[in-house]
Amino acid sequence: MTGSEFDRWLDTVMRPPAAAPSRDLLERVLAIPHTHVDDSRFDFFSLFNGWQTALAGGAICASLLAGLIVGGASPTGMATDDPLWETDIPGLTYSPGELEDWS
Amino acid sequence: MHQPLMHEPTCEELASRVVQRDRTAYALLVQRHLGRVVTIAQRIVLRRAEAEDVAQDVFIKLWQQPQAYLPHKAKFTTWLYRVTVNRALDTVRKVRTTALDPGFDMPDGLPSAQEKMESQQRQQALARAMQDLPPRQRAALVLSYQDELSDVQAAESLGISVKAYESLLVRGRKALREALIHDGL
Repeated sequence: MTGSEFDRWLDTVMRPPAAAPSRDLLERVLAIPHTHVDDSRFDFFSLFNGWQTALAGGAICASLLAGLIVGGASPTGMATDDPLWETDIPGLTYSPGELEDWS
Repeated sequence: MHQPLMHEPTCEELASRVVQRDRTAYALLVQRHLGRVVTIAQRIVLRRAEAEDVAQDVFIKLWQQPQAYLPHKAKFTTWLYRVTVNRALDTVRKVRTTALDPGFDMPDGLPSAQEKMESQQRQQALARAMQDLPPRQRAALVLSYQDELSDVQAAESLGISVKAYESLLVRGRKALREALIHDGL
């Protein structure tokens, strides 16, 4: 096959469209508006007004700041005089000697 | 409520109505372009079932993200074929094609059974040669046979310059011819 014969043959083979789309495909594609929701990304902040977002953000910052201040007051980062740290809740903490009751 | 168009709407007009969620405009675009989208996809992925999946994805994108088409930048068909080519090339990278079904039609008017058989053999050889082409050369060749696409539009559909597109075409045709000669056709 010469170059021009090849080009002519390729043209006859490549130019016509492939077989028509199947009925099933046509129906699936036409149904897309009914079966696919819009591709809008979920925007959490769009659920709230600006002032609500600012208020919530401020509250979160304030609580983080409070935690830093309270935590910074003790060397371990924990308030050791917290009543929960004491042994008034049985089984929660163990003083020397207490553990023996369990062994 | 969408105003009816008094003239035959262009694809660009229909696309802008799809942005406004006009289902009738979407259906018209499907009827106009589904066949061509399947043809392009099929000749790139070389398998009918995968080509139909590509076509479905293309129209899902058209419905879900119609604003991705920018009318001032390109014709609607250029954008649509670009989406098709990109999706088809993604499929080629992911899936290793086994049974080839490139969707070539047998030329009409072949008188003898012998000629029909030879034509069929050539088409099979062409399908194999197409499969061995680098995917971008394959895509360039497929687009070059779409009547409604100029060279500039075909290059835009591939996202490359006209010069790069012509280079892909020359190399693709040469490789195809050599493959067919190698197969003794």
